[in-house]
Amino acid sequence: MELDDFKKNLNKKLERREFDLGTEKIRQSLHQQTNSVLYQLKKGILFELITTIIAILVLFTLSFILNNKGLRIYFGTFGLIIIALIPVFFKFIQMINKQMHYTDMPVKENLNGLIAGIKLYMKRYQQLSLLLIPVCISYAFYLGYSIDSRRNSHSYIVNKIAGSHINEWSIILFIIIIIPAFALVIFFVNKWYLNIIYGRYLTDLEKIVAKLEE
Amino acid sequence: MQEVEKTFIELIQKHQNIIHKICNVYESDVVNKVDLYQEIILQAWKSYHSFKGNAQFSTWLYKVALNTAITFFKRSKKQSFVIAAETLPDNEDETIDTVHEQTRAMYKAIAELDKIDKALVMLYLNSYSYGEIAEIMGITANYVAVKMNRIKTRLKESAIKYFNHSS
Repeated sequence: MELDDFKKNLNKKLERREFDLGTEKIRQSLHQQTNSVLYQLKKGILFELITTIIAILVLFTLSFILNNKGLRIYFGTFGLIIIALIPVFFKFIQMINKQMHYTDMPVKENLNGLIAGIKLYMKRYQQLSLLLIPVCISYAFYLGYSIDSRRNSHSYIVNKIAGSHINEWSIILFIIIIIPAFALVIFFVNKWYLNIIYGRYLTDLEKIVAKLEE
Repeated sequence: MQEVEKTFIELIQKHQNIIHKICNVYESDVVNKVDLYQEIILQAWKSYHSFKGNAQFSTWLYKVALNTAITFFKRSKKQSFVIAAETLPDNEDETIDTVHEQTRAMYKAIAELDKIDKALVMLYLNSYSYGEIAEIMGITANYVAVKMNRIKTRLKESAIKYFNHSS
């Protein structure tokens, strides 16, 4: 049998048997939870949004209850910095909602839109995480070195990490080494995390688009 | 029930053979078939505001249904369904004859295709022209023609293989 013969048979069969699910079942379906790729992505972002809000609360609490002034400033500042991430999450949720309400685009355009959205999110996630590393480490050293050393004549953080007989250049060198090392670890941890959550979808979607272009 | 919802349900009822056909082609497992069915109805409802009526509802529904089916990945967790699996008819006829066996063989051959090729076959079976298929898929009509020739050859070979195997 060829595809055209199959088409004729199928059309005959469909003429014979009309399929009817019933008004009530269709109506109930309209109020079910969706399971699309976009919904999964939205769920992931909502989870990150909630953990960010919890992190902000923890950071602000620490900034009030800790005795060490340097640590209080550190946690307070980062609580404020992380607040800036909230609009980023909302922007992505908004973008997903928009895409979720326009599934009537041509197939290729829809797939490319999905891939672009997931890639953009993964990229921004990496960028923001990596950007925070040098800021966090430098700021921690600055606070530990300036505030604590002014107060105790010995830097708390410097003493803790490398002993009391070190000069400023050693600290700078230490920071220069630790930042890329830490960044590398964070980069691969993020990559692994993002891959587990979104990587499978992305690979599958890219394979489908490749099929449209081959 | 709101007027918009009522109109939408009427349209879906009228065109539910489209969703039924797509579910049968894209999913063989009954649970996933029901799940995809509901997902298509839901996605169509969410996008319904963008249906302006300047295109045929069937074409619009094909776009939504294909986009949903192509990006539909298997559910990992069990969920309660509104539509019971038994309510969805399967691909098979009750009578067993040669034509039926050939049809079954063709269904099996189509099931082997990748998601994009399945979409092209679906649209072709619904008598869309290559130009219309190209518009729905977002590719060129020439490319559709090339792909359809390849698919037809492949399906013919696979269907013969399955038919010989069953008889």
